[in-house]
Amino acid sequence: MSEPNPGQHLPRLAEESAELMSLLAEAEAEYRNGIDESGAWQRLERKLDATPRRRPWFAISAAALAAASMALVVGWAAGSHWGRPDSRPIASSIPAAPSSTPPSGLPTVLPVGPTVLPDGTRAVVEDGSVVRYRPSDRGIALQVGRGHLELTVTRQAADHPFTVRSPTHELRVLGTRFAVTVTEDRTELSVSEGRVGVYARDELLTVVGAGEHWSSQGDPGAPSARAPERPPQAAASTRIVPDQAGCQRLVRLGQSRDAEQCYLDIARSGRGLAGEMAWYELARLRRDVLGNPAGALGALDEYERRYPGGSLSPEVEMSRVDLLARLGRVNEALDASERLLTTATGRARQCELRMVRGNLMRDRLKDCARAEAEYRRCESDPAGWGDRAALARAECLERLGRTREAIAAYQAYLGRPHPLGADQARRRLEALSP
Amino acid sequence: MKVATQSDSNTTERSSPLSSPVATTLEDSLVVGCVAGDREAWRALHRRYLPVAVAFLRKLGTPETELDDVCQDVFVELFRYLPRFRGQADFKSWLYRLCATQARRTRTRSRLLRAVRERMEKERQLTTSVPPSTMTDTTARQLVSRALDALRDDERLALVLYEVEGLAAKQIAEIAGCPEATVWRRLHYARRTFKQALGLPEADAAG
Repeated sequence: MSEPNPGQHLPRLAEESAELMSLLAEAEAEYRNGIDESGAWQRLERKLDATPRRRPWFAISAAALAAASMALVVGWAAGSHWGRPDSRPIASSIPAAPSSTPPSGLPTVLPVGPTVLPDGTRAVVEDGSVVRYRPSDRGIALQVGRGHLELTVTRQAADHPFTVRSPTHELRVLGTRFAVTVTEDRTELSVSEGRVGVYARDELLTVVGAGEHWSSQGDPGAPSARAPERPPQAAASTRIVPDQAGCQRLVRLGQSRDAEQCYLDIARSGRGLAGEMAWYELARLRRDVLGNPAGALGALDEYERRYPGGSLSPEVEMSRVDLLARLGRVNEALDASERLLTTATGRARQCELRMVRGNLMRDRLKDCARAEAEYRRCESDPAGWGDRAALARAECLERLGRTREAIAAYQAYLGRPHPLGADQARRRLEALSP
Repeated sequence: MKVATQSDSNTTERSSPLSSPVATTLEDSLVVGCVAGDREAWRALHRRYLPVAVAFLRKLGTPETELDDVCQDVFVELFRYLPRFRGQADFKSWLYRLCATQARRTRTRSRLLRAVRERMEKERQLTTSVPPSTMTDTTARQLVSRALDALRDDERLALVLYEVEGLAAKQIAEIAGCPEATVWRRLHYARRTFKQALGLPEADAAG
């Protein structure tokens, strides 16, 4: 069959067939069915409020920074200047005394030269640059349209980050000191204190720690040794980033501690899904092999810090509930599972969650009344959870002294196809029957 | 559902309330309000276009379990870049483009995650297997969705935008980021596959 000529008119499929028109119309109505706009808006608002770097009403609308080829990193350190297209090295002098302080509360274009922001951050705007200052109750943001900016940022609260945004990237600083050189063909970063995240298109490429150096011309997913002209630091090393298959081999060989370090190396230097998986696998290793639930929870916390809303967030949240339960942090586990149940993933695995909740209420809180309610909501689940829920509910009814209901529940359980706890249910029925 | 009212579909979008002059003005007002930081304007924009986004993402095959997250990502992107959008293009086309991008990312991520989760699932302490679902439901949506599932992603996007959303090929080309001739080619093969999947006869060699 010959291909159509470009521009050839194709009648719409719905025009060809009344049956198809009717089918598409009916399908369209169903596609638009079941939309909870109010709930969706509430969740969107929470997401926007919880992740300030994504907050849209502070989004910038500036032209691209010169020479930002891949990962854009904003560097500011005491006395350092931005790199320039002519590759001038970063200076180390401390900027001169500030000449003006813009008023807070209203966005304003920062003047050329040094300025002190209301929080004490020192900004030096180079000639020809366009930098807008946008404070808010969520933190300070600078919107860079073009040019170069030098900053000495005062220590910020964790929930009030100092943010710099460009059209393609966003950077958050908490009082870190680092320096960046940006040329037409590369971006280089050296971190003196703290850590700096290198992002491209909202995806974390790598985290560069104190004493480490990163270049866009090298492996973008891993920092390397500090540049030779800088004094060596304890954390500086040329890393050979392992792969996850190697870590899995170590697990199979029983070399659990080596496997732990292997995953940790990937997690710290990894990016994207590889980095996410490394943190998650580390948590599982600590939980299941090393018997370290607290360490596992720490790995999950680090995952959430580095990858809020990441691809594995649903699995991480499920694991968090499990770990909190194992650690005896019952109320936290119940709170986390309750939050998770409001998400799509939580709803998809609600019986698993409700079983965890029910068991915690029954065994830790000694509250079979609440547990029974959790089990009841899963009895009809066709998978294995329904079987467990039905038997657990019958047992709770018995503990609560609701004998008649317990007997009915055990009998209903035995009426299920292939009940796994049939022997146990029969014994309880015998004990309860007059 | 919108129905074609013009014979020349090459250049004319189907008529719909949202393409009327009055609606355009309302759209501009909302955009202006949003750019000014008016939260009520954001809410109104969300209320207006969430059904459009949800329906479109469903047609592109976004799983229900991920639909909420993908929609949120779409609107986060929309709100972020709205100041740059103002008046430069058809707003709905821009929304379609954002949805198509997020749907594509979701599919890529889903393929990777599926492999991960299959491995995780084997290690979960579930002693009984989940019985297979019985496909007894044959709603219109499911019939259409199954037919759409038979298409390649790029063909699916073209067909949904052309046949269901009523866009012109030129608009589809902008959304998909390809030449208009490519859109026609994709539509040609998509329509054939779609009709075969529905068990409908092909009208003629050109259809």
